[in-house]
Amino acid sequence: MRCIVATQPDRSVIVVHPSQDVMGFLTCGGLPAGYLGRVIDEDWEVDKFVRGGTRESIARRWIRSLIAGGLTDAEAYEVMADKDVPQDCSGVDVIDTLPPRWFRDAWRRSLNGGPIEVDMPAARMIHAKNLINQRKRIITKIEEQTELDKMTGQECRLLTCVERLRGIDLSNVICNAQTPEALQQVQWPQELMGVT
Amino acid sequence: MTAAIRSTPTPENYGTSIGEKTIARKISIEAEALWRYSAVPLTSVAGTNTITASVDSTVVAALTAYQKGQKYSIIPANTNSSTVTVNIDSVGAVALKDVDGAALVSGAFIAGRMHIIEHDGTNFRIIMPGREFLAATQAEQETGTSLILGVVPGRQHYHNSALKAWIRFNGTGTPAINAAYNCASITDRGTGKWTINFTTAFSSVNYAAGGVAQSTTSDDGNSILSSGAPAVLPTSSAFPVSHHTASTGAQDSAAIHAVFAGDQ
Repeated sequence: MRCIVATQPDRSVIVVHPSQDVMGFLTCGGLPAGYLGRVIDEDWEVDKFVRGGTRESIARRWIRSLIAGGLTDAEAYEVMADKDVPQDCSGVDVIDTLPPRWFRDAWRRSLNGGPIEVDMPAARMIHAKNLINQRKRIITKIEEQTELDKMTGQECRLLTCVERLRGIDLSNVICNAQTPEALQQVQWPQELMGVT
Repeated sequence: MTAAIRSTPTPENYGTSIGEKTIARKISIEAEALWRYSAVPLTSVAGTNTITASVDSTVVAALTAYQKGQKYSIIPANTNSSTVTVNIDSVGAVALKDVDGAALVSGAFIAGRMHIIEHDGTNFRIIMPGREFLAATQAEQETGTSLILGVVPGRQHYHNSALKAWIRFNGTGTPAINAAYNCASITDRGTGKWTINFTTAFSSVNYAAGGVAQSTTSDDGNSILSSGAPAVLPTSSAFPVSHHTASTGAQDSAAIHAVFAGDQ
């Protein structure tokens, strides 16, 4: 299903993923019998959205569209975007495909819309944090296993892995990665990740 | 009184030999029987549980006795709060029972609603509307105190105990709603951060939410689903959620489940 993208004031990106059911209601005959009691008091429903910070004209169009249905796909995305995209966002577009989610928090976009790009400094920061967390987790597991081995009189065979992990410096590779794909390739050696 | 024969007498079916007076008397018996079994409107209805009323004198003469099979249409002035008696034209107070002959429970005889009652020889019974036809309105569902009204599927969700919205969505890859009720969309705000947008809003922000999320890190069971940070607060029409683990911070999840209850 297509989604709605918009740019926040700091150029980060939000993406609205519509419910297929609700898109169906909007583009066909409105809310079906039984769903939400079907009988909708328009003014009351609008008032509740207004209390939630939605502009009245937007809320009214939304509720009327839900009641009556009959919108084109484009109109349905438009009323949904009006309701669900925060008011301080700009560059609202409907798109088919999103970039890989690996560097989601590094997605940036022009305030006027256009394609989603990955901000490399932010992506490097995200990737470095992930790698640090990964290493932390594996070292903790190895140390726990080592203690268990000690207490049960077995040979401590994993401590060298900890030393190896601590000795690896990925900073150059991370700094030199020029694309998201290249950055994503920077990983700890597989044989050290699966030691426990 | 001679019983009605359920066939209006005419010279043809009785023959001319019985005389006009006999025919007239038999017609009168038929007419009286029709009156007795048709519903007579009651006026001056007063009281809550001890109800007094009069027959509409523009339609029939005042009652002198109750008779089995007599029917009356009555609009109670108040909804009953316990068992009920009815006294028409001061003939005497008689218990009013439900269609099955059981004592009325509180709220069964509803103010403003027209009821048809019938004398069964001992008591009055409400014969219309029967129990099975009374569906609770939205307001009655929200009040949630009636012990006699029925709940129909289209109004079930108005009760305070009912969930007003629920959702299960996948927050990884291209996020997508797997199944939902009363949720129009999800807004992806970043890694492990989404906003659930309702189709119809709550009446205020004072509603309750609950949820769980599937951890995506195999060695970390400390998966936490929380409502948004102070900068992104819930509103009556949208609820922010974030998923994080103790060791990695914000993290996407392949299965986020959330439920919402409160007044809509």
